[in-house]
Amino acid sequence: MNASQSGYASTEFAYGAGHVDPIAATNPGLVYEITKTDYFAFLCGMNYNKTTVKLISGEAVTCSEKISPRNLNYPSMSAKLSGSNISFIVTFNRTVTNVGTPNSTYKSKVVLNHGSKLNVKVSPSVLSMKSMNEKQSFTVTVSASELHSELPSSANLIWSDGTHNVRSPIVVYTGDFSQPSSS
Amino acid sequence: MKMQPDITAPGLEILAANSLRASPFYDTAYVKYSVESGTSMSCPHAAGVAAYVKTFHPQWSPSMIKSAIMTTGKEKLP
Repeated sequence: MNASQSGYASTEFAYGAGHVDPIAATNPGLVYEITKTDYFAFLCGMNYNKTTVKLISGEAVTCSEKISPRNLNYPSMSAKLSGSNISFIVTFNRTVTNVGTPNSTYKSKVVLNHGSKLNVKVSPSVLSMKSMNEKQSFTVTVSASELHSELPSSANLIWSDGTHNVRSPIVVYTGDFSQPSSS
Repeated sequence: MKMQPDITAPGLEILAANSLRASPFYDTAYVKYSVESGTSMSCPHAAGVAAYVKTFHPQWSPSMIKSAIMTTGKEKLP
């Protein structure tokens, strides 16, 4: 599918996690929080040095902690891979904070998008939140033996407690698919 | 590294206030309101949703509000 008029493939990099729903957004159940410290570890992990990070942060940063950019606690997950006919495994580390109700149990569900050959594992697959503002961490492992060279492969991770559906797109891709398609 | 995927907000043929001093864009009529498209029209919707969420949760950080908007985004509209 192409986005209207542009000729660019319509993917998660065009429409994102979906269309805003203001009322649903007031009651998400879980949130992915990112602190200032997380951003520092993210920038340092991208090999910005102390001097360049300071230009952004406005304060001294030691870069003692570095994280892979894909492990920034962002509400969606994406990874660019090199080559197309190789098998790969990528992992994403995430932490969710309970802002819904105390004593809630969230079960994970992975829904592959059309044509996707991804294998997605979530560990742990169930999160039990006893109190408000409680944090729980999990790991998403994505693997496949080959990827489409022009289009991203995608899936959705949905954490559900029966009331809230907390959905995150997962996208892995290889080439520069954002160029206008020839068709 | 792209900070994506993120979110979609309305941005096609949006009616908004228009400066009579601005050069015409799509709409060449010199009136106080104009219909235009693009991220310039979409961004205020996203900002409005963020402000709306903030009224329910004044203590939430920007990252929490962005997460709430993204994880509740709809793939298909009713």
